[in-house]
Amino acid sequence: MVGKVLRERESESSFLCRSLSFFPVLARPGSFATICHSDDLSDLSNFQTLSGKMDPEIWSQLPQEMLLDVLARLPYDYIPRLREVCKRWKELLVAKYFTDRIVSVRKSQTPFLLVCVKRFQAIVAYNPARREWREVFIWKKSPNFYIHSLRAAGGGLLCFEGNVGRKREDGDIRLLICNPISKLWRILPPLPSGIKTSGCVNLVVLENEPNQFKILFTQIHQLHGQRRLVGTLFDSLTDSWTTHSEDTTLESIYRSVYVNGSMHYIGSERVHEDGTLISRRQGVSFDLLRKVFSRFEAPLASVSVGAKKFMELHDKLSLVTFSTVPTFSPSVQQFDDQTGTWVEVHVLPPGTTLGVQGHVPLGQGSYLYFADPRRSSFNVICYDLLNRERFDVDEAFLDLRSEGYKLYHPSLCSV
Amino acid sequence: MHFQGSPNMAEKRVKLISSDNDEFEVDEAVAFESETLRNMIQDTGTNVPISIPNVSSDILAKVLEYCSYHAETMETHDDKPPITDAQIREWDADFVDVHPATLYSLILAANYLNIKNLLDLICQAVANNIRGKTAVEIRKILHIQDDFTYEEEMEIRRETKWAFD
Repeated sequence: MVGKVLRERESESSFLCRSLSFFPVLARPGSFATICHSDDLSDLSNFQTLSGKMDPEIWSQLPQEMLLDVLARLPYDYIPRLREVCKRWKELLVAKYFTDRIVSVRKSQTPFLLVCVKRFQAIVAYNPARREWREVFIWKKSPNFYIHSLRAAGGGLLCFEGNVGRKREDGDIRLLICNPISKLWRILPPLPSGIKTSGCVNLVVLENEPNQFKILFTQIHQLHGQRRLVGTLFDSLTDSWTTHSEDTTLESIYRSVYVNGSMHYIGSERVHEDGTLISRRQGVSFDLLRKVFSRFEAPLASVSVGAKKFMELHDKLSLVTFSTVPTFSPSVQQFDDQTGTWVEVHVLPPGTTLGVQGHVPLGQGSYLYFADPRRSSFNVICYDLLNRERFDVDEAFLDLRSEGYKLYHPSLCSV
Repeated sequence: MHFQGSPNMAEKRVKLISSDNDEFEVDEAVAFESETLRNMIQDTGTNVPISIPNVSSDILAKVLEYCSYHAETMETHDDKPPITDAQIREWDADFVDVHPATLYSLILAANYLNIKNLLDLICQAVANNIRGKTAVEIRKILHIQDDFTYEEEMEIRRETKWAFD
């Protein structure tokens, strides 16, 4: 009985190893590592005779830092099982510093690139460390849920929009949250009435609440000529939606970026200046703890040419400008919380040109992803602003362009 | 041994003293595999023996064996083909194929001496040891007390149900 369970687990873990794990395999016939890989129970007794000679308490005294170093090297899909070991481990495994450890141990901060292939109701992931695409099985037993789109990813969780049932229905739209590592999922309660799923949506796991998530929709509603900025927030702790709104002069908002507990948006509004009506950009942010909106200054268009992307870089709201001109050096402005102004910073070495031409549909996180400028192939050009490294994603999925993609860092956050 | 690099490299030797007062003498390049020793040597020079109070001689010998091999793999020789990555991996796998108690002492030594590659290697070996085991088995191997109540354990099982059934 036990043997059967173990074998099933092994086959499951080997699947995800192929799809997600970065593991180098040290196994060699007769080696210590081989004993450990085996799922045969006789090998366990073998180990126990060895461990019998050890000081009985010795491994329990392993300093936490080294324990994390060890655990961070286990396959992603195996880590959830470790929550059952003891209370200390249960806490450790969801802590943000453990996720950080996984990232640093696996020598790549570059997140996975996820694409939702609606035709097959499937998720494919690009592993930047291995430079390969794999299908990811995000659940063991698929929920009775038809996916319309992958709306958001964050804190190791994915947020799908869809409907309950096996066929597409456009009436009762629901959200489903899942963690592809633990394979846990849940369908969220319906959105408050009058709130649509359009507009900016973000999934956030706050640094000081590592095992909870929040979903935030931010929209502009117009009623009797008065515009209101409406934030609709789901909190996993209370399992409920709340709405937070205020009057606004903004006509639209776009470009949501999460930095340090707040979601930042850039919007546009029309104001009278010297007797004429002009359109200008305005920043607005939503504080996820205090649940209030506040305004901040939008960056000035210091460079008229070039495409601009808002993103989080080094924990700061940043605006990266780059151009279709191959010789154009990208510039980065960052928002300084202290002074409330935008400051030009040198994230890239002087003279760096990304050499990106043509249409640039993508860009988020600390990484820039560009679709192939010539549109002749499905290759994607990436520029990693943290490691200052350019690389190409080979044979990107056909759906990448039509569906868009999400950046994903594995974690064990509960759904 | 013939060194391709600076001739001074071969001449500089470092004396190390283990917790049980055994003395080891190694090339500076070998000691430099350890970030901790590198800092100490850069502070005090190679004339003074360096005492390593929390590493015993049998473990220090093992660590230095690792360091010399890996320092050697960095060198190029005219008369020998370079050591391949596959050979290094095989050597490393042999190196961690030791008694778990030795492995435990090595992990602490590698951490104290700050030898990143060795720490990586051992952590991976210990991780491989844990991999595939049930929570009950891990508790036995690592001597961890099960501090969950029955209800708590059932709750976690329910939570992780999807991962394993």
